[in-house]
Amino acid sequence: MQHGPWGPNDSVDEQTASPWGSRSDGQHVAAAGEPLTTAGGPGAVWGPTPGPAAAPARATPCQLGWGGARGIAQLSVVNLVLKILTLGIYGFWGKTELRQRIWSAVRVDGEPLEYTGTGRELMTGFMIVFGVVIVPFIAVSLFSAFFASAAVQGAVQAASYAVFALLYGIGAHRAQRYRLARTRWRGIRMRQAGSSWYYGWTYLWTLALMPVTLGWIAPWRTTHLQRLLAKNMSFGTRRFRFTASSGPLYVRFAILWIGTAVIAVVALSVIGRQATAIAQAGHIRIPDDATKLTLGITVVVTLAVAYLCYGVVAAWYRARVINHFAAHTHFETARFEGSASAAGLIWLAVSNALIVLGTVGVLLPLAQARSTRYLVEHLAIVGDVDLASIRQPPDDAMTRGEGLAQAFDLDAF
Amino acid sequence: MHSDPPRPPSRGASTPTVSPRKGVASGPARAARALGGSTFTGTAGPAAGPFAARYSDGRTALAHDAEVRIDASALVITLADGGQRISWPLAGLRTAQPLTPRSVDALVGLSGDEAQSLFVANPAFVRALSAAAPALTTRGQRWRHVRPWLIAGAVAAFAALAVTRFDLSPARAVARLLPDAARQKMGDSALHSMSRGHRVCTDARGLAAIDRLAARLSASLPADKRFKVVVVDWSLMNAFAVPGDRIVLTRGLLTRTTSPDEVAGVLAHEMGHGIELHPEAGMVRGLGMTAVADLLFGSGTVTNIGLLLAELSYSRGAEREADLHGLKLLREAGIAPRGLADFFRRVMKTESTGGKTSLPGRSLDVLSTHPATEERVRLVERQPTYPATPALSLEDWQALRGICGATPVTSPLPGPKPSTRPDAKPTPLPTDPRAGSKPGSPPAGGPKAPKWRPPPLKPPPPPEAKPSGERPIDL
Repeated sequence: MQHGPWGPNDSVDEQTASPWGSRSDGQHVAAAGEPLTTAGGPGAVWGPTPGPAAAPARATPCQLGWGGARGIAQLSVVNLVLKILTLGIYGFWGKTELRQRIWSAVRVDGEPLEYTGTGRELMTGFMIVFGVVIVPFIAVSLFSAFFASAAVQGAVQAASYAVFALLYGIGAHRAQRYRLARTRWRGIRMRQAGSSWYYGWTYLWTLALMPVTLGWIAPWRTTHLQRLLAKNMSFGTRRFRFTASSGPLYVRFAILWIGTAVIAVVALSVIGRQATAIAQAGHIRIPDDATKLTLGITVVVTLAVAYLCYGVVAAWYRARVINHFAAHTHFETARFEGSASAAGLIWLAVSNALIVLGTVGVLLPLAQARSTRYLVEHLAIVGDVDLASIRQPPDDAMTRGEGLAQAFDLDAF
Repeated sequence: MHSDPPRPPSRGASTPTVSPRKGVASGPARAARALGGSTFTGTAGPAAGPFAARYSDGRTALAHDAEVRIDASALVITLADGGQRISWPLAGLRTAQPLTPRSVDALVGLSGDEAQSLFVANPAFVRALSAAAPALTTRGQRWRHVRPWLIAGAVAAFAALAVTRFDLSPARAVARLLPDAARQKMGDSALHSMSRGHRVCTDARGLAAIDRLAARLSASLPADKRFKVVVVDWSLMNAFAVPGDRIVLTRGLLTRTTSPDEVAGVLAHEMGHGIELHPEAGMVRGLGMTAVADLLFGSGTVTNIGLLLAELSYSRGAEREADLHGLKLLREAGIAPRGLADFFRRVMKTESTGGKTSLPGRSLDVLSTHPATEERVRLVERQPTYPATPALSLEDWQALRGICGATPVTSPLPGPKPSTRPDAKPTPLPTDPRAGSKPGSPPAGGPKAPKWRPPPLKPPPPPEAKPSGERPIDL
């Protein structure tokens, strides 16, 4: 039913938008958006969930689709103009309208999701974060720059990196919590439970282990973070379950890891050989401009080719992660099925990059909508759901959450 | 004519009314609804429909088939299953997204009631609803959200104007609260980033000379206000006050001025800035603006502190304060104020020649600074005369001009007239009979100011070839 755990939330888009880059290390994979869960986890206990065997007779299939968000490019331009006219403040409302459009384009059983957040909420959250986090941050760094000794400055710097990672994790969880609390389908709310501090702490310590394990913790980390989100997600009175383990990800991850190492070694040796040749020739004569230019071109081309190769392998791994998580995310008697492919993710990343760079960022919202669309169109709901058994949960005091993420640019679009 | 009275869009009033289509319920509500229903077909207003729709009550995730029509003042929903009729006042409606001319469907609800919703996948319905309730369109929605901020922006612009116009500076209030150590640190980092790429001049005799001049000028200030002068090897004619009671002079300033009194005038003026804490206030203001920019654009970067100061330009009010302080310091030190006026004239000259030869952008600078500079010259000339001695002895003046070591060859760009470069050949020095007297000695002359004038700018020292982009002096 309702949209998948990869619903229309922004950071997910960002992930798909860039299967390249740091994503493959798994570091950000679970950042803000995706949910997941432990095998047969305790998630299933919550609520009167019928076992798969006892599928109720009233259960019906659910279709997940994309309903066409028209005029996003126009909206991007209008929002930008109004944002400039109001010195940036309208940005919160502009972002809200963009989300309304994107959410509405996600169709479950032909009916749209609804985003009920407001610009005022985004702005309030941002102001709070600005006062509570950003200002103290700046104050501490200025203070240490002016008054502290070099040793103290170093310590402050190291501590601020750790605090930043912690806050990033907390912000990611809270952003997700806010977005789900403001997401409805047929009037029924979604909800993200779980402690954002715990999520942030997990984010931090698993991040610290990345260099120690040479990155090999990444698939486990991605899965674990996703589980913290997904098993605590609910639609109405019913929870999602997440049963993925990280094991099946390791085959592709190993290939990605080794492939990356090979690409790095090859690229460095190509560059190194060229540089050595020039250095040896340098004993005889100083390299002329043409030689230097050749070296420069070699370096640039090699790095570009290496990055492209890496991007291809990373997208291939990324597609596996999406499909694996989808297949192990359950709601009631249904589950998701992903059909993301490396080629699709690469095309999405390249075309989005062209759109964004070609318009100096003006059409970033369009790229985001395209990313969401890709995910929605490559996720399906398999199995039937008894919609009549899903009820509106009692109100909870959902506090503002998204400011933190926004201030850190987690959630810029 | 619809019997359902238009409701104000307040939460309390927007509770939906639900009643069976016919029969069971009794009372005025039912009668009214029946009447409304019957008059609908004859309505000539914005009525439209019926359209097929899906209605959700928000209690479970089920949807119900329904029909909806747009009445004069309400949306009337009739459930297919059971015939229940629901009426939502147009004024209390909300939509999941603002309606646009291109929308093909709409998810409608009641504001204040987030549970119920109605989905109509019909472009004709969207058009009819846009006409009946314009507040739901993009235009209506956006204007509602933009308006307060446009007003706030106008108010802020007005406030900013007021602050500039009347020189009400919150930054200066903050600057006054800074402890000395903080001002020193600010100055250090500003000096560090400003002198990057330029040598600090350290000739011992030159340093002694400039220190003597600084001490003479600040003798009348409180004991804890002692300015330190740093000379950097930079060909541009410039001088800045730096936080923490420091002043930066450039080699260009020392070599292109023709008398020590001019240097003393500039120094006194910069001390005036320092006394008023203008550099500190400028940096506080710059940091504050950076913080605001971060707030608005979320860039999250703390700008290079030195750049803030280099880009700083003071308001006319601040310049006037500095001038008045400077003139007072000169008077207390027994140095003729005319040097300052000479310097202003030199600046004007530099600006106007620069205006002819360089980029068109420069002429705007001339226009904006010229009248102010003339006024400042007049201010100096209005000063009553008092006994004065040259700011520096001849030896000290020579030492000061040589503070950056052997005169560097400065013709990186083709200059107009290489023959009279002041750098290449020392300009004639003042030949005042008293020039040799000790600078600290009491003014020996009568009530008249010293007679000597710098050799009237015979061949006005041509400005060094300036890379375009260098700003003229900003005092």
